[in-house]
Amino acid sequence: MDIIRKERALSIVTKLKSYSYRRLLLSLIILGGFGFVRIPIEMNTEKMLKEQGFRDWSPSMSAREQLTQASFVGSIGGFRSLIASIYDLRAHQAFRDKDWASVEKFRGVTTSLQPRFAKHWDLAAWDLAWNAYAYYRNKSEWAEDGVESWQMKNIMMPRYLEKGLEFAKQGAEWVPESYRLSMVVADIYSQKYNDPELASQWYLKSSQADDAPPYVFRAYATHLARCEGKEEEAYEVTSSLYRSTRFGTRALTLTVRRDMERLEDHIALSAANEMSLEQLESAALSNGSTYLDYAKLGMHLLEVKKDLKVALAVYREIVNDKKAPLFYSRKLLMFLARNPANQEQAYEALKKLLKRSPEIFRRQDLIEFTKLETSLGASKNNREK
Amino acid sequence: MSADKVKSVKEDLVLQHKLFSLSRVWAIAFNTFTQLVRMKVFYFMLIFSVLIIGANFLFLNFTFEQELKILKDVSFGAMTLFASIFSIVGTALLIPKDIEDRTLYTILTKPVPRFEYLVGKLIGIIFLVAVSLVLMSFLFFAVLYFRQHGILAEEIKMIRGGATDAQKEYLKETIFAQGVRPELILGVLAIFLKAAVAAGVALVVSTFASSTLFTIIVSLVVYFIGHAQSLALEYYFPEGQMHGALQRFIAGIVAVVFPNLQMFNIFDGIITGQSISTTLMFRLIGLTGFYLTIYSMISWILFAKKEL
Repeated sequence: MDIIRKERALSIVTKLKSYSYRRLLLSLIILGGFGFVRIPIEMNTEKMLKEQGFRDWSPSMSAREQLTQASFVGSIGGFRSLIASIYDLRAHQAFRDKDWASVEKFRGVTTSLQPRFAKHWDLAAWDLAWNAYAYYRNKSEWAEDGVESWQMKNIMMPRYLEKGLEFAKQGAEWVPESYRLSMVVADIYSQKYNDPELASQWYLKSSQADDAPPYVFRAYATHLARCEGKEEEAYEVTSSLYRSTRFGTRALTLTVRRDMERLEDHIALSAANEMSLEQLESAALSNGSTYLDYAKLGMHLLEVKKDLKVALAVYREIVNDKKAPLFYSRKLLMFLARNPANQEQAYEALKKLLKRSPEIFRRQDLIEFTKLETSLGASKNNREK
Repeated sequence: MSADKVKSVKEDLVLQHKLFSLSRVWAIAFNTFTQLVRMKVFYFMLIFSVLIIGANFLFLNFTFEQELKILKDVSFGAMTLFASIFSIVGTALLIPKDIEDRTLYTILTKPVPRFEYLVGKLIGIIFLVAVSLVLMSFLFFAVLYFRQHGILAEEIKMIRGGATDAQKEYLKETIFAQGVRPELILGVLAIFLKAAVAAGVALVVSTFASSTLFTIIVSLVVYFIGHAQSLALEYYFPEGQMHGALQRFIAGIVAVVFPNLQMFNIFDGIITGQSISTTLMFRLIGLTGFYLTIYSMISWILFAKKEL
């Protein structure tokens, strides 16, 4: 009887076991089958995510070396943005402590964790190319040890400047749709390397972004105007900017006015030196001539022929042209004031012009105006005596 | 009543009893939701409020981009954490608690198929996650909205001589691009989808697990492997390179068995201002539905004849 019971019990256990194994096996088959079905869909989804810029970070070995273990796990586990912000705070703390090596390290982490966030690159470039650079410049100026000062000037400052530039350039590659990082690169070339040519190239790139504010294009024009040998190109850009703003709704900036005058003077002077009086006259009198042709002729008469009287007549023609910038009026009055007989009349007109349009007076013009005022005051006193 | 009549009534009842009833599933789901709410899970909202209000006031010396980003990071991070904990721990607690309270026997002695019980439980927990995410989102969006307007006012005030209309418009556009945007809702939705898949995993584990702790630990392990499985695939199958059979086999097993949770991590990009296409979002929703269907089926297979 016992043997029969034992056998029956064993058979139930075996049955149950085989039953649960069968179910487990079936579950595994479903899981596997489902896996094989979903993997191509998921790979395709991952590809789409990559294309739409959602896979800009891959936790490589270099990333593991940069991050702590917890941060690395957190970054994988969906807290990448939060970890990036934590490193941002650490970088800020390091900046306050003037620990530039740590600033560089932490900024490296934030930019590698979220390379498509422009502000991370911007701050990295700012901290290194401006803050660290300025820190070592101050230190080098106050250093008593000559060697130390030399090291800071020739090693530390250029190093951080290059690092900052590198961050900005990498950022511009990662976020090409934003104007900001190209502008940062341009700022560094302009303010730190004093290279208007490279700066103008980057300002142009930045100005082409959809979100670029109008001042970026103006910065491009200004830097191009400072490039030697590119005056013609710069004039094209600046004059179009001048016309679009002068006759448009936006106010003309002082920089555009100054650049316009400088470039027109440069073009007129080059033509005045290179061309003959006959050539310049025929160009000015031809159909379709512009005020600039007259300006070239006027410049030739002033600088080459030294004929002020005829030059004044030419400048009067320019001032009568409504398309000519207002600074030609100032020029004409200044030329008029060269003749002692016209000084008083010219002074009164200049005074009115200065009151009406102070923006067309440069610093040297104001100095000349003051001189004129002084001399007139003196002569008046003499007359009274 | 004669025996024949009793028999015919019984037959009628059997015929009337549907194999799958949404109303029964809903009753179980709602009951699960109520059961979890009674566990005072919504106290987490206090922690969440402290977190985001703290994040709002602690970083006032930063640029507005950093400030708003930190606020979004903390909020999304907290949402991910709470949603994942709710889905895993909540699901792990359900079946053992029902056994302990003997509710499970009361339910299963009624004509309720085990599949309906499991689906009801899963829907209940997913509903709880959804409600908690909606509450957190409301708070988060409100704080973000007020902060972005506060920042705009501060920035306008800082402009010397008063801001022009064009400057105001530019500032508004720049600041609001980092503030409340419809894409943020998609980020919250992605967190919800990930939590739903995690709940599905926990449900499968809880059907064969011997204890709640075991379910939580195994589910958490799966959760982390799920985040790293796409990396395993990338490591073993880099583009244009082929590896050995063993490596491919291991990578294959990982990819086939574990869910790909990394796929749902889109809010990192959304926080920084990226937009996600509707097609991609529908794909993620579809895949979540696919995961939940399969995990419910597997849970049912394992739970159908389980000795309770």
